[in-house]
Amino acid sequence: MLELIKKWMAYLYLHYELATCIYMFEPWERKLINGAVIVILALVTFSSFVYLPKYTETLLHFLTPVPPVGTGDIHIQHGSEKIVSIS
Amino acid sequence: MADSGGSEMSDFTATYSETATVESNSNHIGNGSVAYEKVDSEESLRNRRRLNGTAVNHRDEDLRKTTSSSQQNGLNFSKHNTSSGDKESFEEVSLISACLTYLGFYLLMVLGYINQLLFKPKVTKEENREGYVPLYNSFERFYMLYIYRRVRDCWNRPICSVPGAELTLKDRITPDYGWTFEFTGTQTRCLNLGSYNYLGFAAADGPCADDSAKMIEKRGLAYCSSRQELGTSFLHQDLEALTAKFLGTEDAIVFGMGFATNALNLPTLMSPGCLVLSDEKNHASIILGLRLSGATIKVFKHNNMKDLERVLRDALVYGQPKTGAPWKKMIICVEGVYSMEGSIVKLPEIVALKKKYKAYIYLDEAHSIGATGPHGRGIVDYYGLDPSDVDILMGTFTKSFGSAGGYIAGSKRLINFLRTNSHAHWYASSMSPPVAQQIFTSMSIILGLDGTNEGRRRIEQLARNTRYFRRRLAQIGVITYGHEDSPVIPLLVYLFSKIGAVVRTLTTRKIAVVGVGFPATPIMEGRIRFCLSAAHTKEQLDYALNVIDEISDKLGLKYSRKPRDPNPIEY
Repeated sequence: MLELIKKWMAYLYLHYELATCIYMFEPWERKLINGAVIVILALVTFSSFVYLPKYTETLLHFLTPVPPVGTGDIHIQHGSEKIVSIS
Repeated sequence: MADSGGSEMSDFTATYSETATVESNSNHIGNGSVAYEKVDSEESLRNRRRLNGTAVNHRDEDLRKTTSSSQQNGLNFSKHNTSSGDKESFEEVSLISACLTYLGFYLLMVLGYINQLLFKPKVTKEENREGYVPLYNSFERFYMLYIYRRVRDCWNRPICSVPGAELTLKDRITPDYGWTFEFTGTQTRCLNLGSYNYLGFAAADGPCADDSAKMIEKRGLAYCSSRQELGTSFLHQDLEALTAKFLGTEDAIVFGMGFATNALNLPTLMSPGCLVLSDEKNHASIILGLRLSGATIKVFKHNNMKDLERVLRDALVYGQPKTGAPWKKMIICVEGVYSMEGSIVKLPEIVALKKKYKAYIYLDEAHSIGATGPHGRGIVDYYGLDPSDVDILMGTFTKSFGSAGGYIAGSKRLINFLRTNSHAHWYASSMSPPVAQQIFTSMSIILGLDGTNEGRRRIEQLARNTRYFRRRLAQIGVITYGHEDSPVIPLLVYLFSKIGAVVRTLTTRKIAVVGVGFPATPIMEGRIRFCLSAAHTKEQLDYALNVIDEISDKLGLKYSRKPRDPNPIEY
């Protein structure tokens, strides 16, 4: 099982290497790029845990319609007498 | 026409050809052994100079357009083997691999610049050159040092055997990531899928090698003179007669160097005021020749007959630039088999256009002579056309005949004109006797003059190998380009790093192939190019195909989204 996961990880890393041309780089360049990628990923993860819930809440607050207050307007569709919606 | 042949001009061309020879000689010495992939590496270097139009993918459209254009014009090719679209394999690159390829390339560039900024390159530098501008193109230098260098072990690999169906690679290692190489002293026997040895005449034994060795004893190694002076012998005359017979033309002329055949004869045939219609994928030697000639060059999209007709018609209507005077003459320059694309020219359509607009055709059969057609006589034979339909038939002896040099064949008048005017005939050293003998013997075998059907067998074997290999590759699910009958098979890997990975992995599995990268192809279309030979057996091809199947799973080369043939492919 562990062997299989190891193999799968090696396969994934090889494809990541090939897709980004890291395959061709020297070790220090690989470390630089991998470091940059890890830093970016870490920042993204960190910020999504710390800031995202709050932001989402605010966004939802803005997007959700204001609850009805007082008398509602009556919208009548042109050409027909039927009441379509009351908000 | 001959006005361009003034003394200044000829001096310049003579100097050029000299430098070219010196270059190729030094290459020989530098490698210290027979040049496997030398041809290819040189070609990729030349292709780096290829500026003939930007490479854009129009082929998919082309096929549709071509069929519609031939319908519009009412041209009827039913009696010929027409070039229908379904024989060309082509697939559009997926968006994700295109993006990744560019991302990888930008990363390579950025890190290259950082590298260049931080470290001094480990190469010799010219000193005491204050105030001089750099002699070498700086981008090219950057590219060689910081991008190509990283995968340099996949190219220019020295070999120490004849590049037949198999070859022996000299192993080497690089301790510093491509700056320098060291020989380990060991050798690897590999299956050779990288040489243009289409009919398998490059062999260390057999009638060709024996005859050539005999000719060295008889005539020596070189005449050390040009054809117009003391370099002509009965050998050259016999070879010219045989070439003319082989191609079915009135006469032929041979030269000692294939590249020079294009580069030095095109200026002889054309001058300023002529119109040239050149395919965008034409070889660098044609482009160089056309530029030297000073003729007006119009480039048309690769193998796109509708675009060719549009460009031709426009140029005809508007005439020469500035003056608007009619063109002195019009020549359509195409190749038989395009070495990077593996596609076959649509000759019947071009001949029809030529007849319609009264233009001439210059057909470069470098890769198609010997390799295509039921009798091995190239593209004209493949489509079953009359050789006199093509005005100028050019080709090389480097590929199918396993030798060196080039020829031009055509009418008696054309060849006589070249004999009196061509710089390559006047100034270049004549063909070496063993080289000429190799061509003579191999051509006799193809023609069946030796009394056996060995030539026929080789041509059929190559055709079978080609179809089998292409179909199996399609079944594996990789993307290949080109016509199903062309023995040059580019396998698209797109990413620059995958070229290196595939070449290295295949070498560990004892298969030698050639990768082609950015300068020679568009950035997005990195490819591995297989060149098949009549010397390959089915077992060898099966071994190679199984390995390719395996590694294309491992390295992710199965890009094709076409349905695969579930039935086993018959050889």
